[in-house]
Amino acid sequence: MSNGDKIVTAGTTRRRVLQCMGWGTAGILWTVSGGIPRAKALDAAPRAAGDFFFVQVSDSHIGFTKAPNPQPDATLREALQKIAAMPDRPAFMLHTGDVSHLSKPSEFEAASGIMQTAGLETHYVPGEHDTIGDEGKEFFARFSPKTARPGGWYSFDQNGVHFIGLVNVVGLKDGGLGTLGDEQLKWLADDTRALSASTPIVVFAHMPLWSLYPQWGWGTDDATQAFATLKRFGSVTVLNGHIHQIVQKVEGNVTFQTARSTAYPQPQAGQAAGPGPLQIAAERLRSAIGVRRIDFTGMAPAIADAALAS
Amino acid sequence: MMKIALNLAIAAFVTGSLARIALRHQGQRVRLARRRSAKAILGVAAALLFVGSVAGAAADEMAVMSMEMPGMPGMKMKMDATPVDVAPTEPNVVNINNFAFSPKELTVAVGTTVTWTNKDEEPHTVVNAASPPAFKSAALDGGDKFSFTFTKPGTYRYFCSVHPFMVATVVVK
Repeated sequence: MSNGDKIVTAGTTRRRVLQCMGWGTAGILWTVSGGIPRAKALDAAPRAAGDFFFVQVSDSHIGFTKAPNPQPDATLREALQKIAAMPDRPAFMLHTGDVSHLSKPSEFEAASGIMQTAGLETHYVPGEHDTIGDEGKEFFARFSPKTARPGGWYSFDQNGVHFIGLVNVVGLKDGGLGTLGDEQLKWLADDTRALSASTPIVVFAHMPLWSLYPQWGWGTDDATQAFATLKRFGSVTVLNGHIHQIVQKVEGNVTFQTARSTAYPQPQAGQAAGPGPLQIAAERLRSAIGVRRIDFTGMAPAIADAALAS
Repeated sequence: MMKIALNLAIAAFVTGSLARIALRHQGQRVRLARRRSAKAILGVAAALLFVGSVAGAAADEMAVMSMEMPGMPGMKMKMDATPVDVAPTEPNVVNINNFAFSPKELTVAVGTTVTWTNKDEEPHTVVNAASPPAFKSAALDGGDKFSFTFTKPGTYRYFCSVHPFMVATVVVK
C-alpha cells in the first residue's frame, strides 16, 4: 500500500449526503474518474445508447434472527423493492455473498425465493457464511451459472465490460485471510489474456481484495497476485461486501468499493471488540443498510449507494 | 470537594435556566407537554448532578459502559463487561467470545472431553488445522456447543473455518 492511497470511510458528512439520496432524479452520483470520486446530481448523468447500469446487493444473511435485525428477509425484500422502484430497469443484479447466515438449505431456499421477486438476472458469489461445512457445495449447486468452473468462479460480458466473479471464501487456512488459490489465479490469467487493455474490468467477490483490516480478517491473502494480472487494464473496479459498510480505496488503476449489507451494519475497523453486528437502534437500522447502483457511461463507472431509509 | 461544589452550582444554574426557558414556552403547550418538560428538567438536573460529581471526583477513571460511535449518531457499541482473556473456571471448557477462543491455549489430560460454546451472535466453527482434521464441528450459531474427546496426546491447533484469523490450541498430555 503506497502513501498515496486514498481511503474514504463513510462518515457523518457523507452519511448525511446519502440520507438525502433516492433513486432517479433526486440524489448524488459518485463518479470515479481518474481515481478521484466526484459527486454530481443523478439526473445530470447523460444516458447515451450503449450505456447501461446494474445493481448490487450484499450480505442478506437470511437466517439471522438476532438484534439489530431479526427479520433480514423483510429488509432484503425492501432492498429489492427500492430497485424495482427505479425509473429504469437494471441490466442485471449482483449478490456479493453471505446470502445465508448458516449455509442451511432452508436459508438458501428462502433467499432464492425472495431474490426471484426482483425478476432480474442475478450473478452470485458466495460469502463465508454460505460455505460452512461443505466448502460451498450447496451454494454452488443453487446459485452458480453453468459456465462456472468447479471452484465456483466465472466471468461474463455486458456492453463491452468484462465481469469476473471470484471466490475467496473457500479453503480458508488457519491464521489466514480470504484466499483465491493457485487454480483460480491461473484461470484469471487465462480468462483475461485475450482482452484488450482498454476493456473495462469489474471484479466482484465477497471479502475485500485488499488488506482493509487483517486483524478482523478483512482482506485476501493472495489478492496481490490477481492485481498483478489485471495491472495492464486501464479501468478495474472491485465490488465486494463482507464488512457491511461503505469503504472506498483507489490504488493506481484499481478502485475498491465495499457495499452495505441489506441486513445489518458492522462496526468500523477496530472500533469494537470484534466484527459482530453493530447494535443500532431499530429506528436507525434502515439508514445503515441499503443497495448500490453502478452506471457505466464509457470507461468510468459511477457508483451510487442508497440506504433503505434516511 | 471544591470541584464537586462548583459542579453542583453549575448544574443548579443550568437547570434553573432550562426551567425558565421551559416556563416561557408553557403557555403555548398542552398539559401533557407541560408534564413532559417537567420530567425532562428533572432528568437533566439529575444527569448534570451525576456528571458534575463524577467528573470532579474522578475525571479520568470513569467506567465507560457504552460509547457513541463518532460520526454515527444514535449508534452505540455494545461493550462486553467480561474480560475476554480470563480463563473459564472449568478446565475443559472453551468459550468463543468476540471472535476469539478463550482460553487461547488449554491443557488437558488424555481422555478429557472439551466443550466449546459460541457466546457470539456470529456463527463460528471449531476445526482442527491438521489434514485430515481430527475434529471438525458443524456451524455453531450463537449459544451452540461442540464437544470432542481427546484420546491421544499431542498439540492440537484449531481455528474457526468461517473466520480463520481465530486460532487456538489444545495440548493433550
